[in-house]
Amino acid sequence: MKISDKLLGVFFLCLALAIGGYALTTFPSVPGTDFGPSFFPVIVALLLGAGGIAIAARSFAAGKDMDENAPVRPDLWQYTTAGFTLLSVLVVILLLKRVGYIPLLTVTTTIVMMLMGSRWTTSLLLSLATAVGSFYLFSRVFGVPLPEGVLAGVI
Amino acid sequence: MSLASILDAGLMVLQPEVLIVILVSSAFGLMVGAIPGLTATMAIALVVPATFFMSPLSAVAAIVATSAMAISAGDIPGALLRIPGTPASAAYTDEAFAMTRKGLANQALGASLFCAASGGLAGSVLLLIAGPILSRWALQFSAFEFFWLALLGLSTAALISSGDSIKGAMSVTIGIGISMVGLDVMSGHPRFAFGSPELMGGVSFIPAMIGMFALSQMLHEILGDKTVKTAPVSFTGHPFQGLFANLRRYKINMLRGASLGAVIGALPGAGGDIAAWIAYGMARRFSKTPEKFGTGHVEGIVEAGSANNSGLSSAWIPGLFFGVPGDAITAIAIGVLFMKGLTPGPHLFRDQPTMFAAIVLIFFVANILLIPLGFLTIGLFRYILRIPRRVISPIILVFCIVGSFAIENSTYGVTVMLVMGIVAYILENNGFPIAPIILGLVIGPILERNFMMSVMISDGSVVAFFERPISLVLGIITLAVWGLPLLRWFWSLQKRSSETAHPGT
Repeated sequence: MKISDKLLGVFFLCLALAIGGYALTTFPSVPGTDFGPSFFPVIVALLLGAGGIAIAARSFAAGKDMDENAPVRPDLWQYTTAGFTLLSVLVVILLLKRVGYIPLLTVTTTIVMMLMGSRWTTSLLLSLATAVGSFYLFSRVFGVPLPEGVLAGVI
Repeated sequence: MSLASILDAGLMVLQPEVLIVILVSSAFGLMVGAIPGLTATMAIALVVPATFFMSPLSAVAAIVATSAMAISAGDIPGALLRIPGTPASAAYTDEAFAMTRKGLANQALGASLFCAASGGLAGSVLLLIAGPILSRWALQFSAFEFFWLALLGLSTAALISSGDSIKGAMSVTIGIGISMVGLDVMSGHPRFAFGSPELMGGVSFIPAMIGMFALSQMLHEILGDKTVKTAPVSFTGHPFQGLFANLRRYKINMLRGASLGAVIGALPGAGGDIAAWIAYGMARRFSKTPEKFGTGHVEGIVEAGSANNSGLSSAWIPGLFFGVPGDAITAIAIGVLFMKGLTPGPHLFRDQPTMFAAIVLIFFVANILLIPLGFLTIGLFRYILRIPRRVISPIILVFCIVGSFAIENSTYGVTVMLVMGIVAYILENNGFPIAPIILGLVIGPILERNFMMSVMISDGSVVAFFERPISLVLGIITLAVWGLPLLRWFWSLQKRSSETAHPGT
């Protein structure tokens, strides 16, 4: 995911303009002082914008990025694994309440383990153990209200 | 503080019940702190109900030992898995992890552990001897001083500790920017919340930290160079190998770190976090081999680790002497103290000197216990880390998910973890250091709040920021820290222009 410093510089400049613009136009000013809710966001915007210009300029001047080492291109399988891992976290966020902690985490962790190269039997067993173990640790011992979901009433 | 009170305190502490409580709490705290996704606050929360049934001193012992251990244990997953337990650990996590990758995990952990113990002991001694003095020093700090201190810590993180100053500064700025999501400190106006009630509560730093280190590390592993086999962490030697040679070589770093930590840690708020970062920056600045920093060099770990842990002991000063807690853990601890009939405050030292001495002695015992218990924990981790990463990483992910959920008992924490993980991965691949983002996130609100208060006090005058003596000193140091990279840049320009003018000389 190596993006050139020139592009990054432009990105940060745009981000800075967005932040600064949003802050200046929507945040109210506080009567009696120049320093209101928009002050620090504007400072942050200025710093990010200046930084963005600096790294882009540096890249232009030097002809290449400061840390340009041989870029490692991940293969399709690696991208798939990474994508599914992130997707599994998203699925947990969306379905946790409805499905419940133990079943959902067992399924997602099994899939991630298999994608990373383990056999399905090992993955399933370990995922189930981890899900159940962590559920009991956090929910029964620490008192965190982890959703039981479909297992409500069973555990 | 008479010798008689100290001796009495010693007798109180050296009773079987208290010692057992310290031992069990230390082991428990160490275990919890060493597991990524679990936090010191969780550990304390578990211990509090147990304290209801204990004697006052045992109750205090349980809280003190658990918190000290849990926070120190954050160094272990930091070094081995690149998942720091606290923002202070984040200052030297990358360094320690680099050592681990070189096969020097034992040396990194040994140094970290020993400096944690010695720093903690130094902080405890300071607490005992200079507690009242340090508390008077802490009282001198007004909004101006806090503002400069926060700015100094952030500037050090941005400009000195990482290699690329511009990207380091941008990382800190990004962290500060994220810290502004939520309600404005002074006016209460929602900022960057876009109507979402969760965003109005701000971005909690623990899920952010978990995401930025643990999740992004997992992405690095998955998307990394496949030709480089991710072998299980190799441990050469044992934790004490080369330790004393290292400590002798870096004894100044240890002393400097411990002193810095003790002094800054006494300030309520994020004193300990700032101390570790400034210590790391100082180690790099004053080192004879600054180019080694970042490649897996123990010097920064020695200084920052000492600062971190001595700060832990002195962080109790505002709590014990003013009854004003600096963070959640000290707040809970003070609650327990009140429950047990001990009234923290300016008169604790005068009215209950024995109890005060006993509390400090508990710190002593806990810090000494850190070495053998830490040694055992590291040994345990060796077995855990023999398990291949393709199995361990998904399991760690589970703990990260549930740990992030547990912060606010909602999936919002998990969302923060996910987003910050992706952002951190992309940023890191493009040369932006990650750890300064966390510091910006934690210290940003302190910086802004104290700036706003200073401005209100001074009515907008800039001179007021330099009027008070401590502010003046801190301000000058901060400006010097800014000046250094600029000077370096000018010198390099000068050198280049003189070389082109007189080639070959």
